[in-house]
Amino acid sequence: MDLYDQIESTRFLGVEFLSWLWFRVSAGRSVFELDGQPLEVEFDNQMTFETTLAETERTRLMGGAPSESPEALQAMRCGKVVTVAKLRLRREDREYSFVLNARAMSIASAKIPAVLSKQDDDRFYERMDLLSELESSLQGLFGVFLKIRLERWQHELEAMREWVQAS
Amino acid sequence: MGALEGSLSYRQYFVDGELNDHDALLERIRHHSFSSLNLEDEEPKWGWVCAANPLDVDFRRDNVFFNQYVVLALRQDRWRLPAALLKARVNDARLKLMASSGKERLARHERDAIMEEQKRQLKEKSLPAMSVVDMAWDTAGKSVRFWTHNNAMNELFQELFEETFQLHLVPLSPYTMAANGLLEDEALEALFELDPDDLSKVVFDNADAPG
Repeated sequence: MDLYDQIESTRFLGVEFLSWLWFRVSAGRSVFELDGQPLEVEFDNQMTFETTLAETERTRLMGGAPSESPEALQAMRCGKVVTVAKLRLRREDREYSFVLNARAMSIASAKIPAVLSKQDDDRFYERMDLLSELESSLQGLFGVFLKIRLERWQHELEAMREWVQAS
Repeated sequence: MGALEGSLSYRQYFVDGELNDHDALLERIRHHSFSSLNLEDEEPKWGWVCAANPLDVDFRRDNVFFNQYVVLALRQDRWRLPAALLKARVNDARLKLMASSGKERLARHERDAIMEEQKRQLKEKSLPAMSVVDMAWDTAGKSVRFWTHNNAMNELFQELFEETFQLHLVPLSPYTMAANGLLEDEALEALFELDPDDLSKVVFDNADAPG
């Protein structure tokens, strides 16, 4: 299998990751331990659902708290999975918000903590450091998911099934 | 836009290969620097400019290298002529030539010449449309951020980066994220054995699922 096939055949893991993250946050387990530090995850005011068979069938929920809305779970019950969501991550006193496209794991419309440096070069380094922390936090969360996905996914799926049915 | 200020929407790539010495790198960047559009150009032109100033193509160590980062911007210029106005001017010029020459029909080369002349006249009166997108290459982390999600600009960027630096770019994805520091080879191989329908089964197993 070449690299292109490897990338394309595993894009579903990004979508599974985002759905799993939504489940964990909804279940009240929104704080993760990464590199010895707590990382808090929150779903913000934007979610997009798509059918797994036809990407063009989309449900977009904007404003308020869509992750807690009946419409979001209804979209899942109708066979749609969450592909895009706006997330907030809190690490110590630093807060990041961004829109995650799960199929590409790409970041858009990110907001990072205020850059304090005055000099142009220092501002650039600080900006890059903050983005690196955001990326490593996302990668850390994905690592937690992958461990579960490879080691005890059936157990987690059962818990997700109960969550969808009970909500 | 992006590396120094403004929008924080970007695509990430991993760089497959090592950075060569800085002087050789500067020479390659200069070789692929942006050059301005001419009136005769039909196609867009693109190349590297300094991130701090898109009019600056005087690449030096102090405006390209920032500790472990290589910071540049991709600039693309294109002529965007107003289509309706061009069409009207071409029709007008054709009618005038037919009247002055007494011809009922113009030859292909005459029509082409009118079109070229009208395009040239409009270009003289307008300025090219400019797109500038920053990139920051973290040579220590072997990753690149390119500040747009526009597919066409990303394709152009990949092509220009690989041609300039002779290094391969691999876009970020769930797989490449896992492969870059999360999983060892054996666990990576196991990803290809996973069932992509597992989640759907959970969803469709529920009472409200479509039939």
